[in-house]
Amino acid sequence: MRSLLFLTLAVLLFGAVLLSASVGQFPIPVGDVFASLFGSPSSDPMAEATLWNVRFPRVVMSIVVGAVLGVAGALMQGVFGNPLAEPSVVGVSSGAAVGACLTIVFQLTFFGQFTTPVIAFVFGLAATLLVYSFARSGGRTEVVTLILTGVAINAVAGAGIAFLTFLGDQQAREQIVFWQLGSIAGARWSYVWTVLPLAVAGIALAAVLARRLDLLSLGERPARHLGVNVEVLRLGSIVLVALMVSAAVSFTGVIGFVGLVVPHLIRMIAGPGHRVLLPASALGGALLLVAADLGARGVITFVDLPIGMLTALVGGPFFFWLLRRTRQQAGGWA
Amino acid sequence: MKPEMCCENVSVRLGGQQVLRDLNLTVASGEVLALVGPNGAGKSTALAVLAGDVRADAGSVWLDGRPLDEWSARETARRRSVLPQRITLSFPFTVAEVVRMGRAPWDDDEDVVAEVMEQTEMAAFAGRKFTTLSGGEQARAALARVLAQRAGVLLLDEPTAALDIRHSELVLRTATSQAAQGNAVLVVLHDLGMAAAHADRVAVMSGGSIVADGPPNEVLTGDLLSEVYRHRVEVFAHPRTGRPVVLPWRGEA
Repeated sequence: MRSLLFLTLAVLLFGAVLLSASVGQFPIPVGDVFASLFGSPSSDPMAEATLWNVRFPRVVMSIVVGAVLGVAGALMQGVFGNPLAEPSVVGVSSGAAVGACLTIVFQLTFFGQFTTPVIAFVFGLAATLLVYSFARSGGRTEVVTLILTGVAINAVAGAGIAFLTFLGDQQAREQIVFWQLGSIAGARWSYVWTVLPLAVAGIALAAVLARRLDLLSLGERPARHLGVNVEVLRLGSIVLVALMVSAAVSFTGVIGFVGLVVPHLIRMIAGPGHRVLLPASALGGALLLVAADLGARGVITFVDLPIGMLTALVGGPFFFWLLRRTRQQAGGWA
Repeated sequence: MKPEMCCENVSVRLGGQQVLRDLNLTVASGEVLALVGPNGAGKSTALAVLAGDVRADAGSVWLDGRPLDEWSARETARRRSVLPQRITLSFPFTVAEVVRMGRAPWDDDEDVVAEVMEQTEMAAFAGRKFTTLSGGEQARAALARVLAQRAGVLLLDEPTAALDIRHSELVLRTATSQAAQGNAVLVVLHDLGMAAAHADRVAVMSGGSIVADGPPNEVLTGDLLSEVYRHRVEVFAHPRTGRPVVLPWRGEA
């Protein structure tokens, strides 16, 4: 059952990658994409250049960012013990976005190519810590408190971004606006190489925590009784979430709800155990984002829609449905 | 070292209230100790102090002859298990997965998991989602998880609260058999009759300290219980077993 899930996800992802690389203003047959990928370059140098300079960086970026967002969502839900905790819902993404906007407006470059991720990480971590300390009481996170904390943090972060947009010059403003909509259109290999190590490290560390996250779902005290160092687990997970979200946000803007939809669907198929949930959410997130990127380019001919808009369009109603369901099951707003 | 846990002169203040004062309590290998007392006497806090959930403001807590602070979380988990009063689960794991969580301090061992599921009559529920079980079934699944931990000291906070007669008896017989294997079992109980019938030793708490501690037939007397519970209580010997039977005084109808 579980290996079938992984196999299905992997096959679908591979198919979506081939399809996504073939579709665009300059269509390239899927067969040529496949051939180029496995060592026999296309006879058309134009097709070859399009694939390797434009399409593949974009597809790989979708995979990396999707995987990171899926895992960050699952991890956050595990730590909060709440299926509604998601980086964009509770304001972690917009917190990181404030940091990233700062580097755009003031053209900060003191850490080289890592400047944006680093500043985004600092702000994202601050937002995560705020949510965590405000939304919890007595070791549990109530749905309504969590959502309202998210509303507050999103509002403050929104004000920060608005102020930075106001401060910035014409070019910075345009950059901020489009970046806020979430887009993979500008992906380049240099961006991919910046995000990839952060993503791999984040996902690998999250996988190490999987078993302990299972125990945490019993509650903090029972987890401690079973030998889990709960404080270390919580802090480690929060830093990981902030790291992964800010890495993703730095280059693609705010792409919401991936971390909400994907882990939820995986839980419905394979159960809530984190040893399956985390890797499957990585694959599922990658698949969702590659497919969404394909949709962003394919829905209207010659128009490259912002991908964050698409994920929010699907994720928003899904979030509402989940909220209602959780509310019914918990018997009230608990 | 035989499993043993104790606390010496422990005092705890919570929210400005003195909840425990100079508490001395020992649970030793081979015995079931029932901790009883009226609401708010500090029973659950006493258990929480032994479990390491609540820090003592004064006094010390010992596990197997060493201060509790000196054990690592994992070492502690291998030596004592805790059944909480309120059972929660954030995600819909199956019963088998929940019970398997009890093996976390050790290597996975499916034989142990199967055995404790049998012991708590939960084998038929293995594949069911924990969150869809009734309160009593959840309580038994949680007990199975605690038993799977194979710890020498068991701290059980009101394990029978949600259970019917059959399963209450099952749980306390399980506690007794754990003690017979050389484990130390502390069980917080509300039902004095249960404590009288199953415990080797009973400790009565009132106002944050122990007011009586000893074998059931010595400790559970009408006078003491009437005073502690502020309600007249009658105690008589069971005609067949000789164990004390405790009932609240009820006037003739």
